[in-house]
Amino acid sequence: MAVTPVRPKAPQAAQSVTVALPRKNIGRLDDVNKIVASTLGRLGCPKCFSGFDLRFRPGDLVVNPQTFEVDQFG
Amino acid sequence: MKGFAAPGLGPGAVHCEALHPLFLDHPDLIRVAEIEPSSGWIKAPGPGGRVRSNEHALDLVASLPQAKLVHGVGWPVGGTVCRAAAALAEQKRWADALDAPWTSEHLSFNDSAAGPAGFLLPPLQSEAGIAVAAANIRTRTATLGRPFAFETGVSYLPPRPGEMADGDFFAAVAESADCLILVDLHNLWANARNGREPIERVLAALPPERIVEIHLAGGMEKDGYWLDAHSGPVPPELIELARDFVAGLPNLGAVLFEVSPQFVEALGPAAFLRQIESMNDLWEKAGRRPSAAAPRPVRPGAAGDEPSAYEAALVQALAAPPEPGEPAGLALYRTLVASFRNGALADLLPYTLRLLGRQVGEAALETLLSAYRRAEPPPLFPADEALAFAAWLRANGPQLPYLDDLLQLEAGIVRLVSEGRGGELRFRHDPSAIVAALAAGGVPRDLPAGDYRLALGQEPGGPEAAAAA
Repeated sequence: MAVTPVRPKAPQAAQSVTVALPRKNIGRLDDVNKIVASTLGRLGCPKCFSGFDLRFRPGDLVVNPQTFEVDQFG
Repeated sequence: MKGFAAPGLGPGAVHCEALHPLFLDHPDLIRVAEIEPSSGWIKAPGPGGRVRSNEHALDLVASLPQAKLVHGVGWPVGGTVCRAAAALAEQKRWADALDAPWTSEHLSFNDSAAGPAGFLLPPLQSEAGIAVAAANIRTRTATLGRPFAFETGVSYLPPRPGEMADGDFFAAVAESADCLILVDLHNLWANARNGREPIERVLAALPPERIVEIHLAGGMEKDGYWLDAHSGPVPPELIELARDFVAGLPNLGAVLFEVSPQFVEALGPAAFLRQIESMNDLWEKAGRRPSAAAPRPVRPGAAGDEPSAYEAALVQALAAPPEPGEPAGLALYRTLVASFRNGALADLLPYTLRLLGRQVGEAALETLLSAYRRAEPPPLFPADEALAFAAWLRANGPQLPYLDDLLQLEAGIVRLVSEGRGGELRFRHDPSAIVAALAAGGVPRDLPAGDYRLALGQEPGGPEAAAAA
């Protein structure tokens, strides 16, 4: 079983974790790792402001094919 | 705190990940980094959970060449309900490690006897409101063990009949709590544009010797209001006003520019550095004019208002559908609260939302999200929001192919990471194939069923990961 360390992309983010496949039947572990890394960077409180939050916008999600992160609705 | 001589830290900005390289490259221009520790915190799911942060994050900001200030966001000091104990220990640890000369938080409230508000809301500006804020500030100052400044907040509500004037209220809180003041000029400028008091009148009421920090930012129009959105450069007319204002401040320690991480890319590094040059220019002019410190007599506040009842009524009004004749600004607050709650879900459950949008349509997704927000109060931490939505969706949402597996993946990652422990996630279909289909612009179809498992552990190689092997 391969155990992959996954580190958050954001420096101010959650601790690193490891991701492993107990059974080798998940096709794209690297994609899952990217989702884990993205999640680690997004668990903190939003920064200070009293405006409109643009992270969710009606429409479909846009996926960055390089990072595999969902960038926005748009 | 009267008599506190603020160290002259200088001009700077609120730090965030996207700006980190500019802080490293321009220490002479950016001399102060204001750190918001909670942006890197994780709270374990459920009420009363502990707050923890990544040591790497603290080490990273500690290594910045700038002087550091520590600013709170989620635990304001203006309300009767302050569930801050778990967070303040961590805030103190960061403030101690960064040797912040003072800390700051908002003179607002975000929790109430009727539940959490989901946003920073303006406190009751009365004698009773002064007493509540002053007691909170004295406790906060003692807990954090260093001088404390409250931030003058934004209010999208019109003045209430009989309430104290904004500047009088700020001044009275500062005097009663014997604390410092962080004047957010963009907040006050937005308040004035949105129909509260002229900013000049508010500023004239403040005791200049207590003002140690200035915030400046840009904003945007929405629904007829000027939002404190931190969305771009400081309006030129506000810079002009700031230039005159800082000249009369004898104890100013920092002049900071704020931009939301969402708008850093649109602003661009060159424009950001031009804003920092403006902060430097303001810093050069600080305290140049002898202070005409003759605070106006404070007007008596409205008697008979009970802060707890005011807070609960406002939170309940925000959670309820619009009513005819309700105060202007409530509709805007509802929109802003919804945007933040949706934003947390878009961050942590992006593929779940995408599957929903693809399968039921965007209009139905909006209806689902709206029903969820009505059913569940807004939590402070995004992890709690994601987990609450996942639970609500399992109980109340549509039965869609692969939705259970996707929730198991995304909410499972959030839960395990939040709890700080390892664990195994099990699926009926390959979650990477589900995500790949969504990322490719389609929806997953005809995936073979099986027993799929994924183990998350604590690096390096947690015991759960090893056990799963």
